[in-house]
Amino acid sequence: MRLRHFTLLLWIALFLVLGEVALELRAKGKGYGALLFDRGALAGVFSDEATNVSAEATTAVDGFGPTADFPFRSRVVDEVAPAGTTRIMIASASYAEDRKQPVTAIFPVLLEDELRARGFEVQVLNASSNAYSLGTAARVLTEELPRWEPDLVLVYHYSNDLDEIAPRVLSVAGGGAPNATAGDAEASGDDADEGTPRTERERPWPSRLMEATTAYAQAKNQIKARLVGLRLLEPTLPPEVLAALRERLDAVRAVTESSGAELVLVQFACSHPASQGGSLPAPYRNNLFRYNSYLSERAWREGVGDWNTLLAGYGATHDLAVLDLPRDLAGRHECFRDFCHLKELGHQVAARSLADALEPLLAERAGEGEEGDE
Amino acid sequence: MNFNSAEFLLFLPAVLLLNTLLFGRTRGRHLMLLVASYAFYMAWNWKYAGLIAGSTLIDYFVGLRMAATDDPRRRKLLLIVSLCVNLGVLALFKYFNFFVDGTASVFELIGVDLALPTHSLLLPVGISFYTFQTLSYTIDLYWRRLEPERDLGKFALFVSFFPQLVAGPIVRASDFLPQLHHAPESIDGSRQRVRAGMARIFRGLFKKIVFADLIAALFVDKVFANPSDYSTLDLLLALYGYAFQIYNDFSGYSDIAIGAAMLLGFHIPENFNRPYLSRNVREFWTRWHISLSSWLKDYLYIPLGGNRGGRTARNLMITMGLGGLWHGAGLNFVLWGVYHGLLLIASRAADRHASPDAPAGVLFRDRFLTFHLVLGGWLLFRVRDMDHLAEYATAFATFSGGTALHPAAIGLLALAALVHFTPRGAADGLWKGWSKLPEVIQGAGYAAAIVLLCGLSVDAAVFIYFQF
Repeated sequence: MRLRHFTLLLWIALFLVLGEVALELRAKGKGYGALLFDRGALAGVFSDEATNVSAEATTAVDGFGPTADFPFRSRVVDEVAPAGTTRIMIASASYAEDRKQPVTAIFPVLLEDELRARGFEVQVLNASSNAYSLGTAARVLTEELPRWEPDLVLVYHYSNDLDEIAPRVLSVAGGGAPNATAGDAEASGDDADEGTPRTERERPWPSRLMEATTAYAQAKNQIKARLVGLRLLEPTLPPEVLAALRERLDAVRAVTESSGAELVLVQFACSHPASQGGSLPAPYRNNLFRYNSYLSERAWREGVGDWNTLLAGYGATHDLAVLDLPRDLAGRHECFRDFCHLKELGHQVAARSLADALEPLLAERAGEGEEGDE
Repeated sequence: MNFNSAEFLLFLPAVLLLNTLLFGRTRGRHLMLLVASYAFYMAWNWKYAGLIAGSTLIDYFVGLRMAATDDPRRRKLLLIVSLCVNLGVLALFKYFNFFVDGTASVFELIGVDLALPTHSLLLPVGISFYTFQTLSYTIDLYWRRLEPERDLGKFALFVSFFPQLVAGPIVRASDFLPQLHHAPESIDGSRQRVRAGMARIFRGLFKKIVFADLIAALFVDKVFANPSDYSTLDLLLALYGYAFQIYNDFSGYSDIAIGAAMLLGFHIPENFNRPYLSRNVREFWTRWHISLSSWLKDYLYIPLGGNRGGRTARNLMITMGLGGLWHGAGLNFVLWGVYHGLLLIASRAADRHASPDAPAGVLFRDRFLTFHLVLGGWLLFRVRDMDHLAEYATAFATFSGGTALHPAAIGLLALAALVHFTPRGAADGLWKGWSKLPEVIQGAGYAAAIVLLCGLSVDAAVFIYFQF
C-alpha cells in the first residue's frame, strides 16, 4: 500500500476544508463568529484552560474584561473593592455574557451604570459565560468568590441546566449493565452532575474542534433541530428535572453562603411564556431543539413558570431575595433575539428592572452599614 | 473511542498514514497497530487495558506450553487454566452480581434472608468478545487445529486489533494470525481496496446513525420506557423499530470494523447477511452474528455432541441458553436464548422450510413467519426485566389503535425495512456504481455525508453491543 492509494481520503479532507472555509466566509459576511477568521478562535479550541478568557484577551479593552487577570466580561476592577463599594457578581450564561453585543450594551454593565446613576457605589463583575449553568456556577463561584469577595451574587440560569439535566434524567436508551463506556460517576450512581464538564473545554479537542466548525453548527441547526421536532418528547417538565435543578441551587447557595456573600435569585424571562399561548416562531423552536432533544416546546415554556415558582418558594424558605425580571421582560418580543437571549433593548430593560429590584436591597445594606459605623 | 466520534475521524487516518509508511516493515507496522489498538481501547477506560494484557499473556504462555508437551493430562490442565482464568474474569465482571442476586432471591423464596456481597466494578468494554477470541485460540491448540503463535507481539495484536476489539466480529486465530505472517509487500488493487473499505465504513456509519440511532431516538426508546402510555399499534411499531435498530446498530459496527480492517490491509469475516430474510430460525442463525453463532457451534454445540446421540434438543438448549447469557447477565437474555433454542428445536422437528426456488408466496409466508418469531425474541432482549415485559404485554393486550408517532418516524422505519429487504443484486449494483465514480466525486460525496451524519445524530449513542 502506498500513500497514493489514499487519494480518496485526501479528497474528502479537501472538500471538508473547502466547505468549511466557504461556510465560514458566508457566516463572517453575515456578522457571525467564525472559527478560522476570528482571531484566537481556533487557538481557543485547543486551549485546555477551563476559563472564559479568550485567547487574545490578555489585556483590558477600553477598561473592560475579560483579561488574563480578570476573567469577567465587565469593567476591570482591582481585586479588593474600595471601602463603601458594594460588589455584585452575576453568575449567568450567554444571556449575560452575550458576545453578540458590545460589552457596553450588556445588562451587567448597564446595571452597574444604572445603579451608579442612582447614587449607589457598586461594582458589577460579570462571571457569566457561554454554556455555563447552575451546575457550572457552583464550581465557578467556588473558585472566584474567595478572590473577589462580592457582597451579592445574582444567579440567572435555566435553559442550559435543562440541556444538561434532561439527557441524564430523561434519557431512556436501551438497558444493559453500565460498562466502561459510561462515566465513573454515572455508573456508580453518584450525583450525575459530577460528570458535567465545567465547559466544553473539558472534552477531547477533536470533538471541540468539530463542534466549533460552522459546518457542524449548520448541520445541527438545519437538520438535528428539525429531527428533534419529530421525536416523542416530554410534554411537561418532569419533577425529577425540577428536583435536579433544586439540588444545583442548593450547591450554589452552599458555596455562596460559605463565602459570606448574599445570594440573590433572578427569575428567568423568555420571549414567549406559556401564559401567552401560541407557539414559538419556527427559528426559535429550531434553536431550542438544537440544544434540547428531550423536552417539548410546551414543557420548556411551562417549565419556565415552574422554575420561577420554585425560585420564589426557595427564596421564601431560605430568606433569599428573588428578583422578578420576567415582570418587565417576559413576552416582550421586541426585547429578544431568540427564545431567551436579549436584543440591545432587552439588555436595557433587564438592567433597569434589576436596578429597580436591587435598589431597596442596596439601600437596606447601606443603612445597615451606616448603623454599623455608628 | 466510538466509531461515530470526531476522535475516530482523526484516529483512523492517522493510523492509516502510519500503517502505509510502515508497510513492508512488518515488525514496526505490527507494533504500531498494537500501540494504536491499546490507545483505542484506553480512550474509554485505561484501567481495563490490563485485563486484555493479562488475558493475552496467559493465553500466549499457555499456548507455548501446550505446544511443548504431548502429555494429554498436562495439555488438559493447561486448557483448564486458560478456561478458568478467562471465564473467571468474565464471570467476575459480568455474572457475579447476577448469580449472587439470583441466589439471594431463591433463598428469599424459602424465607431465608441472605446478605451476600456484590461488587460495583464496571463491565470492561468488549470483554465477552476478546475472551471468546482468546478461548478459541487455546481450544484450537488443544485440539491441534492450530500451531502456537511464538511472537508475543503478533499474538497481542490478534487479541487487541482495534477495529473488532470491542464488538466483534469474533475473529479466530486461524483466520487472523496467518495474515500477520504472510503480509504482502504490497496489496494488489490497493486503490480499489481503499475505495471498498471507505464505502464499507460509510455504509456502517449510515446504518448506525440514520437507522439505528434515529429510529431509537424518534420513538423506540421512549415507547419502551413507558409502554403503558402507548397504544398497541405504537408498541408494535416500537418492536419493529427495535428489530431494525439492533440490526443496523450491530451490523453497522461490523461494517465499520470490516472496512477499517480492509483499509489497514486485513480481512475480517462477515458477521451479517440480511438476517430478516431468513426462511426459518436455523437459517436466521447462519445470517445473524455469524461469528458468534459459528463460535458457539464449533466450541460448544459440537463438543456437547451436536446432532449425535439423540441429544440434539438438550445440546441446542444448552448452547442457546449460554448464548443468551453471553449477551448479558439478565434473566431476559437467558430467556431470549432459551426461546431461540425452542425455536431451533421446533424448526428441526418440522424439518420443513422453503427452498430458495419455492413460489414467491411460500417464500414470503416463511420469511414473514420467521421474522415475527425473531421479533418475539427481540421483545425479551429489549425489556429491562420481567416486570417491564409484563408491563409491555399488558399494554399490548389492550389492542388499542391510534399512534403518537410522527409520520416521518414511521416513514424512516419503512425505509430501513425497504433497504434491508432490497434484493442484494440491486444494492450491490448501487455500491458498485458508486465505487466506479471518479474519486473526486466520491470524495465530495463522503465529505457531504460526514456533515449530513453530524446533523442526523440526535443523541450520540454508543453501539448496543458494547454492553456485551
